[in-house]
Amino acid sequence: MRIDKGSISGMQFMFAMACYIQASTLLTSFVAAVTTQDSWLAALFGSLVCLPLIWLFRSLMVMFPNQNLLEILDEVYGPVLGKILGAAYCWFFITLASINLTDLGDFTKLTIMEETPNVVLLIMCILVAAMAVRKGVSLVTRFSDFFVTVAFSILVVSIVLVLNQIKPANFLPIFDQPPIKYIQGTHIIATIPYGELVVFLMIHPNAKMSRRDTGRYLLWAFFLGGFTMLFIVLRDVAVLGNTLDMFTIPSLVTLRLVNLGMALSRVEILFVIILIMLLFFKIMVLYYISVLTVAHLLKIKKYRNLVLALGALMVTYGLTLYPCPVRHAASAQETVPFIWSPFEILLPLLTFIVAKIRKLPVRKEM
Amino acid sequence: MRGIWLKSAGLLMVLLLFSLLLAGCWDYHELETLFIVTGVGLDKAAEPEKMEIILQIGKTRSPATGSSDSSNQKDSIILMKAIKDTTVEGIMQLDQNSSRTLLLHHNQMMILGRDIAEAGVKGRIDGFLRNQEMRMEILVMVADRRAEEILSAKLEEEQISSMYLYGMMQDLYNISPYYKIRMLDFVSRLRDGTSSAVAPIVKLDELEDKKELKLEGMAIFKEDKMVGSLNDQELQGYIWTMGDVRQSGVAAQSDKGRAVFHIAKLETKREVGLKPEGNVRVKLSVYATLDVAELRGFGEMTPLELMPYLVDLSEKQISQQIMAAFKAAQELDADIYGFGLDFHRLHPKVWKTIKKQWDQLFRELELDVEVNVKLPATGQIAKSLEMEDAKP
Repeated sequence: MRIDKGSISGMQFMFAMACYIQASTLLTSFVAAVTTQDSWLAALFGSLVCLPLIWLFRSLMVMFPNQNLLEILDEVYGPVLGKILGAAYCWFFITLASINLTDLGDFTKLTIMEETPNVVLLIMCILVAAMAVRKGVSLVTRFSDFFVTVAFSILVVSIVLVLNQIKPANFLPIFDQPPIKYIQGTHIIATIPYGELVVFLMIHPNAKMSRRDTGRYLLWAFFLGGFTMLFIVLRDVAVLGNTLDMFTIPSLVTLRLVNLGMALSRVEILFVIILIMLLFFKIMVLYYISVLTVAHLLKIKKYRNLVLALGALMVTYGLTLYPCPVRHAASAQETVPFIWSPFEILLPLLTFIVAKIRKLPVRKEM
Repeated sequence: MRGIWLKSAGLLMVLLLFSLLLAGCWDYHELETLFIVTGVGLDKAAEPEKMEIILQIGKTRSPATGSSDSSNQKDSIILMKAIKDTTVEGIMQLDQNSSRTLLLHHNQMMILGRDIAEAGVKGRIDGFLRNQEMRMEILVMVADRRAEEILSAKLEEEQISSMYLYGMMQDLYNISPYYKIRMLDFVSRLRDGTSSAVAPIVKLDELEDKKELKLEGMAIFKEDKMVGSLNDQELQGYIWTMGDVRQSGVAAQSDKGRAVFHIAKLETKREVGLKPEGNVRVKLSVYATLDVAELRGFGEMTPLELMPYLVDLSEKQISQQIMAAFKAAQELDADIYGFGLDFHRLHPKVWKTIKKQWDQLFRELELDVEVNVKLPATGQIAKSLEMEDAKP
């Protein structure tokens, strides 16, 4: 059963994933607070550790080219267990969407719209996203290449702008903290930006790509997103030094420090542009996938009717999720990586192993 | 056909209705309703817990009325003062009691009164870091006496004193980045643990007919309390120790005459190491390229003898000033150079064992200064008028 019949090209799929990873890089403050000046190492290790994970996702995509995650679960674990796991994933996707929605609200409040009530920002974002979600996967991913390009250009420009403030000594000493901190940092990076790529298992059947291309596209997306993250962290450490872990949004502070004469300063608006653009994209993707998952679970053919209802749920859920940003940051540092891991790493791995043992998928046409 | 018309007409109506909703903007800020804060000063109040929060507000004026009229000059700033426990309380009180909204985005600096700097600043600047209108690039300075007199000073050169100071620091920044202490640098030092924060001291000179603001050395903080200061000579030594100097000069006196050199480039390299006896030794190598800027005396020397002599003289002068600054810092137990941080960065393992006794180690730290001066240019003239062989 394919609910959304729209299709996208492999390139589009790749850019969507790259853009998704880039969107998560806005959350580097979570890891900055744990590993401070070694955060770039955490970013690097996190990325490297995730290479096998990317390979795992690729294998699942290649093994089941025409089935999305829920269908894979159904086939691998049977209808009952598959449905239960599917429902769990459904919760996961909706929660993820809501968390990102709150992030958008919090960050916009912190950066430009101080006095605008959170709920207005959230509803605006959800309404625009809903328009895209109703049109299906092709519209959801259409602007991803544009977003990736803009985000990348802004990153390059911002690095050039702060070149005069970079202090290489800020990176020293390397490996000065207890090893457990590095493991924690790596774990955060592995689960928050990369592990979340599991959501793309929901839309890979819509992407037209050959077996061989799947791995290539995934790897490219991984590199594009990974490099963005690494360079953002490197830039922030080089500029902010030992104050890095003090700030809620280090990248914002870095851009605020830009000062090239009187003319070129106060360019934090650049950060706000990518912030809103990328987070909007991420929310849109998660929103679309949540809708798709619910429609799948409830066997609803016309998922369009669900869109606004689920949006409303996400807004209220997001607003009540965390009592305050401090709790949010604490949970992102301590609990979230552990709750997310089963969904992002363990279950896909288990599914892969069980599928191999049961010699799935059975080739129907043979 | 009619249906489409009706539909589009309906859509248009809805869109027009939306424009009504969008027109209202509740957090608008119009220029004529704003007070643009250009400087914030903190002074100690009579009660120990409280402090005086002084805001300097640059007046917005239209150029037509402001340009020629000299009586307007003294009204170019407004000074607001509140006595409260914290900065933000003070700002809130001032905001309530003024006809306009305070805008902090364009604040240029935080000036700490000497009293408050000596009493400790950690608990005083949280508001500056937390408030999202405040920037980490605002300058931190210490007033020689009270911040209020600096902010209220009416200068000839610039009507708003904080803009004047900003320009001055920007000039000094071109000489060496270590003159300019931004909030970020200040906080970074405060958080570091072993390094001591510094901040330029600004002094108000009241002459007969005008007032002048001057940079007068650098305040040294131990933990978060100001414990002393470097004078101008020592400050120069400190700046040279930190390296990356592009302009300014060296003046040296000997029994043969006085020489002034212009610094084209001055770089330093430092190696921090532990000696077998257990104390820390810093080897500081200074590489300077100087030009001869002015000579007086040296009459009995030929140009050929003079050059090596001048090299020697400038090397001695630089090394002497560096040592003077170092001695001053050592007396205050204040690691203003970040030697501890260097050690931490280069030998993180050893650092853990000696971190606790850093104060003691810094007191006994040995600084070896080695100055290498190159003197490639003598300016427009090779000989001076006073020289022997210049005479016909």
